[in-house]
Amino acid sequence: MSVFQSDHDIKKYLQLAYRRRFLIIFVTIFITFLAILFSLAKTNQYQASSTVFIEESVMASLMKGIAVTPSMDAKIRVLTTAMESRTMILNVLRELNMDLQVSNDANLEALINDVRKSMGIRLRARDGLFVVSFTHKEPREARDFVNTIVRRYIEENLTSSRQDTYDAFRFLAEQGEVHRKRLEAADAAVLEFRIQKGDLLNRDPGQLLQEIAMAEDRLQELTLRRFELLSRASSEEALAFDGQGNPVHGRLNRLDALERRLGDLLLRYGPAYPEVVQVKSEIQLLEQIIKDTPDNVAVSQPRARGTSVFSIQAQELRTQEERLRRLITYNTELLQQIPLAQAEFAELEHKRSEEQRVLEQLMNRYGQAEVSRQMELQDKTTSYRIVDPAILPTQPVSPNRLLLTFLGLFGGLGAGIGLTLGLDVLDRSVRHVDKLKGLGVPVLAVVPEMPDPVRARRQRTRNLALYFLAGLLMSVIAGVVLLELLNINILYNSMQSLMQRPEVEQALGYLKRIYWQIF
Amino acid sequence: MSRIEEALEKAVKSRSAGKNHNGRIKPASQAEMTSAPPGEIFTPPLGAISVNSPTLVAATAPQSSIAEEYRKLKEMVIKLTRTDQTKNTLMVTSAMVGEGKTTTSLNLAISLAQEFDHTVLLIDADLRKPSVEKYLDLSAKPGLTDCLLDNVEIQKVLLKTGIGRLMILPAGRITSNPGALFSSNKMSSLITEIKHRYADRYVIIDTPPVLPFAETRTMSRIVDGVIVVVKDGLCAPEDVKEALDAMHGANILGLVYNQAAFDAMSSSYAYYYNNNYYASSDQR
Repeated sequence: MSVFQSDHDIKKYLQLAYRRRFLIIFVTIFITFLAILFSLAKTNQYQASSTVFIEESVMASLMKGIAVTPSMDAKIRVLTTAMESRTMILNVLRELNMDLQVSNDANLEALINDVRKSMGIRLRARDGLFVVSFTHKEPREARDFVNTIVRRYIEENLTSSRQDTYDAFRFLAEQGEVHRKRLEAADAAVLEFRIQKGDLLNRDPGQLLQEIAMAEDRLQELTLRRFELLSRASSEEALAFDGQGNPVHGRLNRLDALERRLGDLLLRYGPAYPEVVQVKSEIQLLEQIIKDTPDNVAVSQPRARGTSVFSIQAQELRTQEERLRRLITYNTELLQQIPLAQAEFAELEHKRSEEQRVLEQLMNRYGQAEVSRQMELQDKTTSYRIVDPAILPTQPVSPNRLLLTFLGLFGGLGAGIGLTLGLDVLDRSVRHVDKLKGLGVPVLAVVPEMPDPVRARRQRTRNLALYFLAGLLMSVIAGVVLLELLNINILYNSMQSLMQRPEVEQALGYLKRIYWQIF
Repeated sequence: MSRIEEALEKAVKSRSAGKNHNGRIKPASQAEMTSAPPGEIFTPPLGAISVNSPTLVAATAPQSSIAEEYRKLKEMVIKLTRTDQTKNTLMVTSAMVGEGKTTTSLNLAISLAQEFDHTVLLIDADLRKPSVEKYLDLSAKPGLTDCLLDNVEIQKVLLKTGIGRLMILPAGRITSNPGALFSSNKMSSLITEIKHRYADRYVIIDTPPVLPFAETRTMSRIVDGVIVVVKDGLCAPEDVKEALDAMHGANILGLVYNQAAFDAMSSSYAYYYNNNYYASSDQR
């Protein structure tokens, strides 16, 4: 069903196209003529181009890694930018006197922009070729521009490349000097640190810990021995010891010590705690003794002091203990300082090695730069060779009249068909008997189109005339195409001279103004 | 022949003569036309009207498929009007100019006239653009306008065509105000008079189109039936509808779809035409 439908549609459209064939044909011809006129009215543009070969000599590959040569990509990027630079273009324009008509800066800017748009740089990085082209309405100017810009570029590129190498060489030398000084400073810093904190750096923390542990053992041992001696010495005189194990002389002092201890104990325990009870009873005993012998307290003390051998030994032991304690404190402090000193030292060392590395690299590059400089001096790596200099172009590149003509032809055909379809859509008239059926009035008869020989003859004559006219116009188009193919410029020349007539120019200006006012 | 028979014959003759005297005009037979005194009724010589126009297929190519269509139209008209003998005035019009009113009127009139039963009077009432005469190759003749303006008697300007029993009332001389003339009371009374005077004939009136001119709308209500001609690809269905609405109150018999292209006909028609059914039968 759908196949039938589409078949029917195609048939319908073909019939429609046939019915409006003259519309289609003449719209096509009209638009083609417009395209031809447009293409003839456009000024011919000539293009000149020059091919330049970037040659990388054997030297470049030999020197890889030793000397630095810029990559091909980089060279080509630089080339494009440099050639399109304002300075370069301006110089070329001045050299060729192409800027003579420029009166102000805005015009100059516009001219440079135009030149930029007309310039083309195509690159074939694989072959090391680049093609510089320039399009202009004067073939001579196009040629001269290309040749000048290429020559200028090559000249400037060589000198600038040389300059680059010299600059790099000098820079490397300067940097080398700076970094050498920095390395010396770092060396001195490391040395000084070693002198100042050398013992710290050499100490083994493990050994220190061991020493501390041993000293603590010994201290404990000494304390025990001293207590023993003291207890022996106080057999006749109560001798108290404070928390540190130091002897406390006299009963009153002993009483004070006991009361302090009681206070301490009561803070933690209740009154029934055994030790509390013991201390209380001792305090009572001591108070009792003090009450019984109130007068001999003052005399007994000096007598007891320094007299006992045990006391003297205990004194000696205490001195030893003090020494051990100092040693422990010293070692502990040392242990804390070691990591800090080591970190500081590592940092200094790192700094120094870094400086050393940079300096080594710099010296390496310095050597490369020296070789590069020698190579540039002798122009050994890259050479630009102009393969094809620009020659005077004889054929214009634009406008492509053939293309425009055919575009007009096909565009016109499309427009004609579009117009036909559009008219068909817009045509609301009764075109089928079925359309009358909705009016509620019967269709009494359907009379087909009458074969009117007179009208048919007239129609045929008219059709023949139209076909003839269309054929004539088409042959004109064919003639234009042929002239274009044979490179005969009669039409172009006459059109150009027509365009240059003041009245035509005026009319065109007027049309343009109207166009701008409308759009 | 017996006496009685002779007496009967006489009686019949005298009766028919008496009818004539009563003003009831009999269908205009050829004998009467020729025997009428010259000057009273315009009587062209026998066979003077030669139908050359190829569009008048009903006369020129009666066997053709198009003539067959007009015969179908005729049958439809007869069918629609047969119920009542007084329904004899038909008006042919269209929405726009140039849809083929005159061809349709003429072909329908010829088709009807070719039948032995019908006498047909065709009135060219399109005073703005009278064209019946052109189709029949007649030079300017006195006609409808003369009747209206100068009170010329109708029977004096009737033309006999020689095609069956077809008579024509031409448009007459050209006037400056055809619209006013057409819509005048005189016109209405004239049509009414014709309708009654020629009650046994089919009176077909070719009129101006409906939409551009006002006059046809009044006329449509006087006549017994209206046939609207619609030409293929000329006006939109809305225009046809507007024309039909403008003739509101009239008895619209139906539409005639004119000058249809092959693909504009319904599929069954197209089938026959495509297969050249009639053409081949014509050749046989």
